[in-house]
Amino acid sequence: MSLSELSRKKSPWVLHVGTGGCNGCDLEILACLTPRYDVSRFGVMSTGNPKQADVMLVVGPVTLKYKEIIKNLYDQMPDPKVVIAVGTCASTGGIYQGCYAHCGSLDKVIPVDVYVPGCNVRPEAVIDGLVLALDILNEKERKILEEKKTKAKGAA
Amino acid sequence: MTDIDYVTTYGIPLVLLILSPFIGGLLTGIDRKVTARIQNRRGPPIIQPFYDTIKLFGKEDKIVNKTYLVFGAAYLMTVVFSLILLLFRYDLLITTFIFGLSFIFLVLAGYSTRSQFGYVGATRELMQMLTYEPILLLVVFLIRLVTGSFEIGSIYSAAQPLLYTLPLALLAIFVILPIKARKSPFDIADAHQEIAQGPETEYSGKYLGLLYITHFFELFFILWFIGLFFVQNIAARLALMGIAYVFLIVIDNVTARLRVDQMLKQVFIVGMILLIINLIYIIATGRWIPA
Repeated sequence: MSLSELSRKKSPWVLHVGTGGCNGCDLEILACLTPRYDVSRFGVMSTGNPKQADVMLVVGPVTLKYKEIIKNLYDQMPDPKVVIAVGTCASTGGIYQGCYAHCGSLDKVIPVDVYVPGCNVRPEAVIDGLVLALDILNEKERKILEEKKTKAKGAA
Repeated sequence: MTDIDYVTTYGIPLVLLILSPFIGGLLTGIDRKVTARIQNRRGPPIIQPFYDTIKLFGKEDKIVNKTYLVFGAAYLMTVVFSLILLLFRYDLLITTFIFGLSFIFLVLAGYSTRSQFGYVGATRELMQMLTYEPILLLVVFLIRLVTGSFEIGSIYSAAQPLLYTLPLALLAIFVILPIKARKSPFDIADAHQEIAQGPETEYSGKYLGLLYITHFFELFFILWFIGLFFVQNIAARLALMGIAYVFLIVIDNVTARLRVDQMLKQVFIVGMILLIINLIYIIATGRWIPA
């Protein structure tokens, strides 16, 4: 594992997005930062800035009003980036399924890499999802580099 | 002076200059670890800041415009330049001014992006400069009064350590210390709960990594500046720097963020009173050296 891959694995910066749910999962994510489930052990830092984030934690059903915002946030994040759908609402729509002001689920708006089910999710599940996301982060970067290589070959 | 001691004049400062980002990074890591321990958490490893920086260099850059990149680079350059001047014992006044200039570049970087967070952050950064710069300059003037020269070399050749003649000026520096290190209660400019990252909001990828390295340099500069107050004894000097850093971490953890006007009032009043009492003490005991 190269140095940059190791450090990418060791320092995921998290952007926490609430898209208008019941805030139950929000509280569980905040519980991850407390002494009991301290995620900063893994180098996780909660940043409010999409331009500096690696991992996007999306909580709640995506309402129609929030669709544009979350697309915008996703586009602002620099590659490599990973999206985690936290909770049943973000993964499948949950009890909001079929509601008129609602997009269905998160993966209909932006590509999702990790699903963390549960209503509410447990903090352990969120940490599991985060650790899973770290491997995907490195895989994505490798893919981007390969694409660049093939593009360069094609150009030559 | 034909027989200059090359090791102490050029060797040690050069080594320190090369090591300073690593020392600054380790200190930042220790800060995060100690903060976590104070809050009863396990905390990230001590070398976490290096992981963060290397990761940032491996990320995609999302660039808004070219202007703010230039100002960011200027920020790095001026901080490194002021650290060079400090380590190689140049003029203390010029060193302080160039260190102040680095903040100006950060403010300009904040203003040159069209982000409201950058704007608010830059304005607050200016207010912070307005607060700490007069006090820092007055401390430098007091150092001039007791050593007879603005040269840093004269501090080294002075009969007494600065701590004995300027104890309250050191306290005044302790008051403005959290402003320069961007720590609570004066982390107003990059209050990330309110205004994202302040002037650094629009930076991403390796340009943010450069800013991180600049912060490491900055931290080392600040601690080295405090070390000037006891240059006669290396152990006492390191102890002074250590005390300053522990003070910084503890204050960061036990206080909440102040508003800009509260900061301006409190720091100005406390700092100026300390400096005036110290000035009276110097004049009354006849320790000052006229030009």
